[in-house]
Amino acid sequence: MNKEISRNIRLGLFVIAGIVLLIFGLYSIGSNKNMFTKSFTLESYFYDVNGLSVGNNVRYSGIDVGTVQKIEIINDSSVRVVMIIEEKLKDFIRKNSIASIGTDGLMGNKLVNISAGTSNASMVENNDRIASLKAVNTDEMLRTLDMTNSNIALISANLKDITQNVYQSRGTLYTVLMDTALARSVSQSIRNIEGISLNLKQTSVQLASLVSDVNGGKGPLGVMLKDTALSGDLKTSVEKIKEGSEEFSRITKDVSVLMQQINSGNGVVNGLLTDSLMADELKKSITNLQSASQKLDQDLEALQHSFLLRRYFRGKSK
Amino acid sequence: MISGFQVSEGSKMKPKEKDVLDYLPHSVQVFLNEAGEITRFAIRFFKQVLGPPYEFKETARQSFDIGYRSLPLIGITAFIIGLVLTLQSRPTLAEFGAESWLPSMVGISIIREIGPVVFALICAGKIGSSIGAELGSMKVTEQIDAMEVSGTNPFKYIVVTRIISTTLTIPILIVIGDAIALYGSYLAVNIRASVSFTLFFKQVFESLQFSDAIPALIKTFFFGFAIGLVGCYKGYNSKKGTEGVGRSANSAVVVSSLMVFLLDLIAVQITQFFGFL
Repeated sequence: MNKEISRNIRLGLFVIAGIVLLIFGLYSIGSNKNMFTKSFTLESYFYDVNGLSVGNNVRYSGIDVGTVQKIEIINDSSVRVVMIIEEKLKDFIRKNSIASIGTDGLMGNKLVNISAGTSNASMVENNDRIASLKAVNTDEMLRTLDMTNSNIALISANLKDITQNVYQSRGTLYTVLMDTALARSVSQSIRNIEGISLNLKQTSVQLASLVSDVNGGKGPLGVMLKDTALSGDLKTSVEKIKEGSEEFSRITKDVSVLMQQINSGNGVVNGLLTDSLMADELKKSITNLQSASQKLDQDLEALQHSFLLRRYFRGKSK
Repeated sequence: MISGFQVSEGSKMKPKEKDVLDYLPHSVQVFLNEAGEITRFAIRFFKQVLGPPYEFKETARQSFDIGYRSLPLIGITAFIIGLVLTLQSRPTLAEFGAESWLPSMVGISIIREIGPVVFALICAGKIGSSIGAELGSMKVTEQIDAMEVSGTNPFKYIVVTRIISTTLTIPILIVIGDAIALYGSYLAVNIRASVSFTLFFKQVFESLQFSDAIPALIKTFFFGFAIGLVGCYKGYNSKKGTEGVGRSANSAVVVSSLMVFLLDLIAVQITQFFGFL
């Protein structure tokens, strides 16, 4: 091969290699910035972007899916962040997804995290706006921590005073904390409470079983509570008892009136109850009546055996 | 030469009376004169580069000598730089538990600053000295005068072609050098850890911005132009025989290296001004 042609070929290779590497490098940088892939834009408004800058990554479910294209101040409390997202992510990001500003690692670059929305929202479209979440401000966090530290210092000082007082006073709390006999008693009490609670548990189980039976209509109580026919009978019984008691009340009232009349009047009954003479007379009369009836009985016996009536009694007995 | 004021051959600068510049120290006068001469040399280049005849063949030949033949040196140097930079940076990053940042850190360092400057300095050493020595020997052996006599424009044939070649090939050398340095870094990372080729280069390019690569690329053209210009100027204005050739080669390296640093400083200021840093 001609020396000059050989040189030209080598020079050509050298130049092409350089240009290819340059193009590859620039393409790689550009593709990381989504310059050569189909993309769409989303925007979000933040109160504070915490140092986010153009070119920072946008992540969805932990995957780099785009970059920050533009950051502009809208007013004193709102910063607009425009993001370029890969086109294929349109099928995953929903309108109620939330953008938040985070950090890549502990000391890494700032980035925008887009959270997955809920399934009831529709998918995002080009130039849509998604809600944002206030970023964690490190300074604010440190200020809060500082305040918390001060409070903890104050609390620990107070605790120190309290413990000193408890120790020096040797009062009830000291006894509670330091007396070993009391500790044993407390331990025993706790064991007793445990036993009681065990019994209570068993009782509650039995009660539950009982209530279950009652609910199931088992046993007299269950029947009483659950049987509707019995309740009707009971109602009728109660009504009858009520009627009976009313009747009884009337009777007692009548008896009371009668007793008053007996007590106050001069009738036979009063005489019977109060006049002893009359009682004796009556007793004699009854005795006489008894004697008379015996005699009459004998007479009738004799009459049956008399020839006049004998035939009649014989016919009757047949 | 008037009152210690060195005036190069062909210069029209002939002070007739004592002016304010005569009160400046001799070294300052020499420096300013040199700067003026180089500027005039550059203006002459721009005047001649646009007009015909166009020496494509000679430009290609020079590109081969300057660019292609410098590739092994740049390749080996770049590989070692990538390797060493990674090995040296690892312990410091490991202290912070940030070893995963190694590809990003090395990538940014090489693409943005170390690659362009270090490779340009190597080119200044190799190419600047070779141009200075070559043109110096042509000058002292009166080949340039002979070309003039034969009707060929020596400036166009010798200087313009070389400056064009350095301006175009040094950026290519630096791009290839960057790639080789990154490959060296990838091997160094894999000495202690196990990082795939894809992951390493993904991490490198993820951390890079166009604002890192484009200004770095643009300044390499200026480095190439400066190296060619200074080399050609020093060789073209060589004198005092063979001793002058050596001095031309030496001063070509020194001045072009200095120019590389100065241009880098200016480039940093400009990129900072436009908000790229």
